[in-house]
Amino acid sequence: MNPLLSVRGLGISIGPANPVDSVSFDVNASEMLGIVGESGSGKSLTLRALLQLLPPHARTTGTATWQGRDLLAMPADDIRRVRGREVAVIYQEPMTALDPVLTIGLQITESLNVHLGLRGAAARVRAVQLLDRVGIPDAKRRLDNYPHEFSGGMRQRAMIAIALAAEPKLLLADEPTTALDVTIQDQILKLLLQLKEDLHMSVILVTHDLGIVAGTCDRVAVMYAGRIMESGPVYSVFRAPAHAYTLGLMRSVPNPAHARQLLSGISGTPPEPSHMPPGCRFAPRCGFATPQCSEAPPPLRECGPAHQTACIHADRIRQSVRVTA
Amino acid sequence: MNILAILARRLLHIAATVVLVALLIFVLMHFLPGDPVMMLLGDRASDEQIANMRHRLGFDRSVVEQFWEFLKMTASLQFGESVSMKVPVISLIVDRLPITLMLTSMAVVLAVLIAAPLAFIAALRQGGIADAIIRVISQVSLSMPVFYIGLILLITLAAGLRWFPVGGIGENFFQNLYYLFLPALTLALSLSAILLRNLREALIEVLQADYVSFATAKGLMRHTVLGRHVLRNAWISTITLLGLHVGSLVGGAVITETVFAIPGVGRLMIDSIFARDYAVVQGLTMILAVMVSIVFLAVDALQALLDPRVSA
Amino acid sequence: MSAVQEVAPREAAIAMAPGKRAPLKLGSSTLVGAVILLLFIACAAFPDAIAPYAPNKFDYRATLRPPSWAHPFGTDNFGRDVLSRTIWAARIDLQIAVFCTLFPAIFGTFVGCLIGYTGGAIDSVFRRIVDVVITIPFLVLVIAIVAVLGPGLTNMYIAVSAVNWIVYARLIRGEIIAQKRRDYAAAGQVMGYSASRILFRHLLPNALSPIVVYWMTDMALAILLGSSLGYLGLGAQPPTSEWGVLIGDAKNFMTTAWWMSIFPGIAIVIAGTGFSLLGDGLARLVRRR
Repeated sequence: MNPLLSVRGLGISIGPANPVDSVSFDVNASEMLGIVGESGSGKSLTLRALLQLLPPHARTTGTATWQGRDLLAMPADDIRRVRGREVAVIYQEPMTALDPVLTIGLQITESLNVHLGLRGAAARVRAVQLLDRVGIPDAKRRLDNYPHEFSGGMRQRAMIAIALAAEPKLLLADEPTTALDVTIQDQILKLLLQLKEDLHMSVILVTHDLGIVAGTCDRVAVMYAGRIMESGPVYSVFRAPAHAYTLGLMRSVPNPAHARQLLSGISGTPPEPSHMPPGCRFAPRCGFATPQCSEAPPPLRECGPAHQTACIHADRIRQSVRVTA
Repeated sequence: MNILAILARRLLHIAATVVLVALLIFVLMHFLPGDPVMMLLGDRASDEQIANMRHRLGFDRSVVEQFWEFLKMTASLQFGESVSMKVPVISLIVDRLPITLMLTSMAVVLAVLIAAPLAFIAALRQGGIADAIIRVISQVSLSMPVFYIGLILLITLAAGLRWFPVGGIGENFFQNLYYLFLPALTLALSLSAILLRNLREALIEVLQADYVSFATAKGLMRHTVLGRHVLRNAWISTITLLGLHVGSLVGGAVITETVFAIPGVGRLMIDSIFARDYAVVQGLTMILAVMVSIVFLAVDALQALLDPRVSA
Repeated sequence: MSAVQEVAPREAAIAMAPGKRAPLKLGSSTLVGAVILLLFIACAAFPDAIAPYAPNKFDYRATLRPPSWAHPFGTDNFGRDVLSRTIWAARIDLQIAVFCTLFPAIFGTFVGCLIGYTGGAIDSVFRRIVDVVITIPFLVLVIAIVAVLGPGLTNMYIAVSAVNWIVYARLIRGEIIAQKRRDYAAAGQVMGYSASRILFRHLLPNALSPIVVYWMTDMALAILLGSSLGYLGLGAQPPTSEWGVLIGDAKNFMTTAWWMSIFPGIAIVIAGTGFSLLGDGLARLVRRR
């Protein structure tokens, strides 16, 4: 089966900095792919690059094949037709992503208008249905409210309703729950999963929270300093991490099953995008690193069924997991 | 809270401010060195003349009494009589205010028409050649005093090309549109230099806002994103900026009216200073402060109408 | 100053906002500003060495002459050399730039510090004063004060200073309040430092850079205001050479002798641009730190 979206060698340069470098991944139909990484790892930039939403001075290389066409090279008018209709985005902070001076209703109907040609009363009826579907009570009245009249969770629901107005095939979710309270985070994730089933769509979920990925995603790609370090099915990556960075991330999450386990975290800070280390970008912070790590950037290689790693010491790491566990 | 409640509160605040403005003007006129009576009558006045004049101006009463009189007069818009023109100050002001209002309104419209499109071009092409040119022009015109802009326009467009009259006003509204065009353009150019700079910054901020990116991500047409999302939000900044600059607009009008010999309140102010006509200066300062307050109020109201967050 | 006074603190605040631009180029514009300022100071310091004629030397055989090799900026209705007068005027206009801003900057900073640090009732009183002062247009207020004191340079300095300090006080008050919220002020208190030590040794140095940046811009504004008042006849008085006065003198010869007003005006624009370019450069420097 052909993947729905196939990203190959995506690189982003902003001035002298290269915050994203040769990133490749696939998204299959009806699949939820998690992209995990610390802030600044380039995961949000990657998402925005797919719809040509980067600031004008940013440059991209590589390809992102969608329905046989390259999203990164599409002319402005074509990519505009893809945005919202085939591939939609939701942002981290609904308070700033919704236009503060326009009603929620208008912000939904303008999407319906441009993609489905719905106008006037028909658009309003559809907008009410959409708000209903994302679980906003009293949707008809809420249509005329402004974003600031909604609570945080409601705003995120409204943003999802707007993004899904034209029933896209792929949703790019950029840290959709980070700005929310924990209890509401869970509701929003459940909603996303539900909508993914109902609409048969695929989702790329960008987050820094491993727990969220474990609970929702089918596959995961771990990003660090602009590169993919490891990718594979969620169960396989979490059961047998094959990269020192993934291991470090997992050890910095408290695990109720191992209450007495030491929380170790990762020492040091990520490199500046303008001063990336040669070779493996994680090597300077890595406990497993050898001089070989700093020679050349290690390519992704198979280390299990559909499981890839960019670590040359994957076997040692897996061994150490077995020893400590 | 609804808009009316906000406006009511603002109105109260403004009323309090106006009373304090009156106090400030009163203090300025009565306690600064320089005796208005001596200035009016000259050094050779007799004691009797001086006493008469002091009585006429009410200077022989206690300070508190005088301030109370002044407040009462101000509240009823009676600012006394012009010493040089022998008519009530208020009738002078009523005669001249419409011209100044027309001049400043035309200037605001022209300034927005000049500054807004340029700011838009500069912000959209941030860092480009157009942006650089626009920034240099606004930088240079920021350093141009209003009277100099007026002189250049006078020398070139009025005296040189004879497209416009050199000064004065016409006999009716439509003639005035023509007569006041050059002065209004003068004022507009000086205002748009500031407006352009601030508006460019504000627009760049709006263009980088998440909601603009999200609107683009929805697949909206470029002109919808700009015309609906960017413009609506940019309007709010423009109104706010205009409100902030109303003081400099009035100051500019005083100078422009002098340059173009326009019989508005600004020209009246300058003439009164040289005629040592304190009642007029005092009344005008008061009226101008009240007008500025009204503009502040109008800006608040407009913001509440345009920005749903304000009335929340 | 007439122009941007009311919004100055806000504008300075915008200038202070963390930049997301490309790497810093203090660059050519700041250099241009510095060169202009040096030229300005040179003219003010040694006008007799630079100017070809004495500023008030009448020559009734050469009145209202257009620009020529002998008189590059032409001559006025008394045959005075416009170039020489423009150069001599630099002395007065530099004086205006300094005298209209020096007292406000020092006094305003001092008062703003106290108000920002003390807060409470004094702060409410100050906010009231600000309300009143922004309600009366800056130029109108200055003109009204000059009207009572009588026209002239000294009275203009008094009038401007009486109003302008409030702008500085407002600016530094905001800075101090912002600084106070930061941790190190609290840390100082815990360590038992006296209020004045916290204020003047710790808070003020950190709040000072916006003041210095604004001061540069304010000097440009002062030149604009000073020349405007000179033009109106309320500032420097003829026969003093001051750019605004020179242009005011040319009022009746606008159509016949454009050079009398155009060249002094260019001097104002260049001097003003010099100060604001330097101010912008300083702002970028401060932002970078």
